[in-house]
Amino acid sequence: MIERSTLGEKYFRTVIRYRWLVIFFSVALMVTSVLSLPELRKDTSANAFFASDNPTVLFREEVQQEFGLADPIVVGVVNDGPTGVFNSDSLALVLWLTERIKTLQNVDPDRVVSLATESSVVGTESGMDVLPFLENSVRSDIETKALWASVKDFPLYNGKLVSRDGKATVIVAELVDENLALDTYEAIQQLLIEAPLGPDDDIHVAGEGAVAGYLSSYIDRDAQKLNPLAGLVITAILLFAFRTLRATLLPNLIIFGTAVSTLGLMAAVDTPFYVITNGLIVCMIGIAVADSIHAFSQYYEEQAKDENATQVELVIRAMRAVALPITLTTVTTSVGFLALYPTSDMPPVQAFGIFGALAVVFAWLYTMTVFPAVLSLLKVQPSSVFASRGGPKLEKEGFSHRFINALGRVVIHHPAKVIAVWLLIVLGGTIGMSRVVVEDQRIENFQSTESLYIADRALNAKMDGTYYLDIVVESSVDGLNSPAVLKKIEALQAFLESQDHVNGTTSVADYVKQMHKAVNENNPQFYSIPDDADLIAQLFLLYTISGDPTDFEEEINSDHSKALVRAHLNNNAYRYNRELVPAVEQYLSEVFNEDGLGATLTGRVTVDFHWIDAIAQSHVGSVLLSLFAILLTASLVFRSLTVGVISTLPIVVSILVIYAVMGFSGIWLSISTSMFAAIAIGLGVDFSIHTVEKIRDLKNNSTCIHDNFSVFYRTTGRALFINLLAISLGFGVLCFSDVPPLVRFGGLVAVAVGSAFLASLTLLPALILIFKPVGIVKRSNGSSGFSLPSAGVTLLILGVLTVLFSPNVSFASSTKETLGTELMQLVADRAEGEQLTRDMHLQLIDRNGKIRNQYVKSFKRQFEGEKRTILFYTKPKNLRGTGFLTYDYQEDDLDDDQWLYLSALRKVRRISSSSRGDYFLGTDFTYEEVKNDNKVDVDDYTFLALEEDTVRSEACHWVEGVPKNSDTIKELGHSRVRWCVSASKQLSLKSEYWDIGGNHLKSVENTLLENISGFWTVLEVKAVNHKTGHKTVISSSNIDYTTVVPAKVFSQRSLKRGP
Amino acid sequence: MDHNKILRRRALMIWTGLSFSSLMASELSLKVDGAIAWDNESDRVKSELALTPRVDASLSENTEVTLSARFRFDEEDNLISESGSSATRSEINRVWSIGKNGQAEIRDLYLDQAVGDFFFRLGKQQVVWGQADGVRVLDVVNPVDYREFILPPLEDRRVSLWMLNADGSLASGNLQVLLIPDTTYDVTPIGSARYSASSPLLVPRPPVDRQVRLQEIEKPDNALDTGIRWQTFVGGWDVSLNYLYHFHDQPVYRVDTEDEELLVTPEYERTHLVGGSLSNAYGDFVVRGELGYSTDRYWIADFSKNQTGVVGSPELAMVAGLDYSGSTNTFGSVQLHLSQMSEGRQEAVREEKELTWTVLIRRQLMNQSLALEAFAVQSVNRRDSLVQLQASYTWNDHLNVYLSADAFSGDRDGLYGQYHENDQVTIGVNYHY
Repeated sequence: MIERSTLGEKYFRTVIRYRWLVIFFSVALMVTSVLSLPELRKDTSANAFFASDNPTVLFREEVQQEFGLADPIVVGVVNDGPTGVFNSDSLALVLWLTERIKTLQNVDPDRVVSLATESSVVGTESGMDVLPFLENSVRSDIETKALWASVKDFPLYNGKLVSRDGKATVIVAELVDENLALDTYEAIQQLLIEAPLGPDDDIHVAGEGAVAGYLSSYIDRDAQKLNPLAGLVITAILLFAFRTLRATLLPNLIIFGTAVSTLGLMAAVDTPFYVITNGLIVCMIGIAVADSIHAFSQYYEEQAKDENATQVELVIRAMRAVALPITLTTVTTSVGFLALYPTSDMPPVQAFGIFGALAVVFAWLYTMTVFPAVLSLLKVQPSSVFASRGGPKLEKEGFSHRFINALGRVVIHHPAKVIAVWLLIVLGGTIGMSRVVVEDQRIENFQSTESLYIADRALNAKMDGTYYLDIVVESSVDGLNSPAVLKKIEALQAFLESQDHVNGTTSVADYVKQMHKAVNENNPQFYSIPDDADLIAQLFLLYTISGDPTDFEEEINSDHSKALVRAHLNNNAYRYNRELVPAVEQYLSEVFNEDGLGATLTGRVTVDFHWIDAIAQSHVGSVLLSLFAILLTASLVFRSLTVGVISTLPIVVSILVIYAVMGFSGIWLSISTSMFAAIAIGLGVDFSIHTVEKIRDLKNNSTCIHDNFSVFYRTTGRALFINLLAISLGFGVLCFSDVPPLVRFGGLVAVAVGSAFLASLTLLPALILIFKPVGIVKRSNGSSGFSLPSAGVTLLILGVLTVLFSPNVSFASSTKETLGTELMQLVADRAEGEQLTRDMHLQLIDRNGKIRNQYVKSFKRQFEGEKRTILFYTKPKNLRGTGFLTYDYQEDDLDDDQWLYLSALRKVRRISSSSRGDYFLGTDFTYEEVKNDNKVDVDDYTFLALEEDTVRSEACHWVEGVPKNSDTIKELGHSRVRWCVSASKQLSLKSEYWDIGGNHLKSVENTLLENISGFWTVLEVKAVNHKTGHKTVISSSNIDYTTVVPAKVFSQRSLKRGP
Repeated sequence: MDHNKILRRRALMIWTGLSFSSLMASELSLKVDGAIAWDNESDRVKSELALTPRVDASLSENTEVTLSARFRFDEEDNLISESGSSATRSEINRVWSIGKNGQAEIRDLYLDQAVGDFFFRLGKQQVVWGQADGVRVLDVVNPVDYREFILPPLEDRRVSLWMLNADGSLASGNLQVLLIPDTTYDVTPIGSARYSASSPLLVPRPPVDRQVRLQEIEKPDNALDTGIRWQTFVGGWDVSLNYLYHFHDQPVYRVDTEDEELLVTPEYERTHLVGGSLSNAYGDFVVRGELGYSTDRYWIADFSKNQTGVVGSPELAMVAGLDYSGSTNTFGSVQLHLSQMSEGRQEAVREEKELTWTVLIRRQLMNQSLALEAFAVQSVNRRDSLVQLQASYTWNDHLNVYLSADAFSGDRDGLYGQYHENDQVTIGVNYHY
């Protein structure tokens, strides 16, 4: 102990000697962090939970693109009257809603589906006709009956567009951006207020688009409200516990420092603020306050012991006593958080783990520096709570003291009974654990009184279901016109429909059968796949004559090589999908797939299944890893496996208690609750470490173990109790949330921390009393005990272990980063010649296929320290003479200089250059891309090498680039880019961009490359903007790298005169 | 046949010869503009069709010829002044009448010749100086046609002049020299024309009891305007220094009161204009400034204070502008224009300091097919203003349609307020072939 006191005392004396410097640097760190907070990017979207390279998600995105599918918002009109929705009022309502919804922002008007947009296929004398179901308002009963008959006659829509009993119909609206789902949902709710409801009409708004998009905002909004409340509750507890201003305010300073430093660091490394980061804030408050509580408790203890001591002495004594326990708990708690990282591949969970651990370290740092520095500046002032102690006034002790002392007496006198009670709890926990159900349904995150919840249940009861299991069938071009393939699809549908919870299916086979029936005078016997491939092809052709060919685009792609089979489920429960998905996968591989024909599962249901399945598989491992890490850490720092085990036991018990609560109360083990174990371990370990450390420390005071225990309960025991109150009540505030996941989060963490506290203060001392382990109650040898050097070694070992446990983070990722950066540097270093002259043909194609052609003559030349580019429009006539001149400076802090010459104005205009992300003169390329000409400014991004690939039979390596900070994101107009880089050509062959909201923005492909005069040159590049449907194709010709372009060409004078 | 006619024919023959010889390397384009305008009484005030063919011919690597003509027909015929616009035009810069309502003119006819680092443009052309939009400080090389006041874009209103325009590099900048023998001045509608001026700022108002006789406009003989501009780019700034020795394009109305009747003689006066312009970009903003000092300017005097009807004074004019293009597809611009006279301010109708501000907002929508534009100009002194709104839709590469509204308001004596009854709505089509 000599070593410990000397070193600790020296350290704190130094801190207090240089306290102003310490305060200055700490405040500077806090201010810096606060200043970087505005950079913190918020990404509370549901999609943020998917790793960007998750193959299931990638395939689903691909399918969504191919078939133009997005999770929709579903508006259901329900009428339980005798005629169902087939009455003139309800149908008028459907028409009204369809038209209004089409005009809403974020709703793709071309992808709104309802009775008012869809058509029926009916037979006519000349073949068949495609007639809209509901074009105008329907007035007479005969008309409504006819409409009901024609819908019933079209099996494809039964149960999907209209319920099988005719009591409900839906309007399905696809969203442009799922992240704005909340706004759209609210806009639709607003519409409903003025909707012309008929008698018995009822409207419901549901759908996976609404649920997924809405949920994140829903949670985020509520958490934002409750987090400050948690802070207030904790402050109140501090006031209650110490009844002094300093003990109330100083911990708040530590909390503030911890929170802003952690969030500031998140901003600095560009980690977004995810929806679950709200939980991290509460955690940080709990973590930061715990250290302060121990330090203050000790401070007042010391004060009570020696009333004549100076403030500096008191602070040093208090800090010396708590330094090691709080250092140890810092190590163990951060290990608990870090264990989240390797066991989850969800970016928000990983971020939670890493930044939770960092928050623990920040809290420790501020407690070890700012705390003594600030406290030493104050005058000695006793706390009424602590001052009242010390012999004669014992009977006036507060509730906390009395409670803890009572608890201590029970343990000291009945250790065996205490252990027996805990054994019973463990038994109960084990039983409860076996009842825990792995499940996650987004809709269950809403209160059952929430209109979205009611709507979801109502529509799924009436319709075939709003959850989709999709199967992509792939064949050769026109392969899906084959009767054999269509019949296989028909059989697949039959198989799907035979599964539980699959209420209906749709595929192109349904269309073919309907058309076949239609051309055979609507004879139901012909509702079958024709045997003649030519007839099938002709049926499709016939449809295009009278109907909109895009009607099929959700079922089959344009060259008929891929088709989508969609199963409608009324439930997206993992417990059902766990049966369904493997069964379908087995059917596909054993029955369906053959040479030249393959099918793959996808859709929201599949993605969710894999997501939750991953939790089911990894959860136990994740918990065991955390426990093992803590066992190892505790064993190392106490240099005793027994002590390690004893310290870990309360955590094990508290986890069992959580499982018991979950099992008995029917709380699912889901994405959100799977994190509780790790959080509970991280926060709960504090109690056992403090307990063990204090009891070990006291063994030097007295040989009477009972006396030592009494002291323990009076001192550390009470501090732990205050700590428990602060954390559990802080988290408990979340129980007042309107959002069930937050209620569960708050409640379960409070339970976990409470049980860890109880186990640490009862089970742990009882075990020590019974087993009297050598390392705790008596010295094993002279070298036993803590020391700062040993804690340092432990930290080092832990660091190495953390690195080893999370291979994805450190070594592997740094190699990927290096490779990514190297590849992009190659692209940036590509030689492009001293000068270049070329003719460019720009085709600007809008979503309707309308093409605008522009012809440009372009010159480029390198000058010292800058690159100059000048473009002259030569065609069309109305643009001829327009010119664009840029001086692009190599120096980073120099903005480019740009001029535009508009021939109509006969004037050169200076134009601003900061809009790097603006689109260049109506193309799908930004000014930045046009200027960089297939290069990338490596300083703008951090890169990560991904997988290798081939693009048009050429090998390339995908590299992902994320702009370094939010300013760059804003400037460039995208939050992420992937380039498939050909190392040999030093060019990206293909690239994908995601917008600021994380939505797929555009794809760019260099489709024609040629080596001209030793320089790899892009002869044709295509860009597709996925949000607008706009395309740009730029073809280059007459490329000349050799003819020197005179410097005078790059002048305003030449801009006016033309090339 | 007079000398001028012979010269004109010879020029035509040379031109025709050149055109044919360069046919292979030439490019022909045609712009068709159609516009119909209604006033607030729903009466049609303009039904115009303008054809602007243009030929660009490359005679050699360093020699090019450009010809552009404008044929304009206005069914309503209430824009062109009674005397036509020939009075202020020189012999070599005529407008030909086609039938009752038609006009033809050569908009551009020039020869471009590059000789080493020097460049010469000889012929009928437009030269634009300065950085300001819509208001003119340095942009006074070419006169302006006011047949529709300032409603059409300035580039359509500028009158091309015959001149020699030479430029070359000088001291890390560019030096431009202009020699302008063409004595064509601003075209101002008079009489019953829709935009004939009535503001006392532009038209003298002698006492009502006196007979007034307006003399024919006197044009200077063999006047040669000369201009010189040095332009450079330094430290991120575009800077120009300008000097123009010219006859100001607005006539000075001198009044002779010796007889019973007042004899008003319009004449053009020479002035030196010295000035400069600068502009730079800061982030999303571009700042622009322009300054000009004219040594001899003349303004209409209050007849009760000055019997000559004219006050002369140097003029300092400046304009400061700020452009914003920080939001995609949106452009905004504000300008403040100041004209200050230093002498005779008590006698002049205008005020010593005349302040005008302009604001322009343009937004492009629908894949840049639809452009919405709002422009406002207001005199701070008299609070009269003009607001122009336009929506134009680009149908395809060739076709553009637009709808515009122009509204005047304020003091009838003001520059804009004088047309307060001339509000109009126009629909138009531009076709490029």
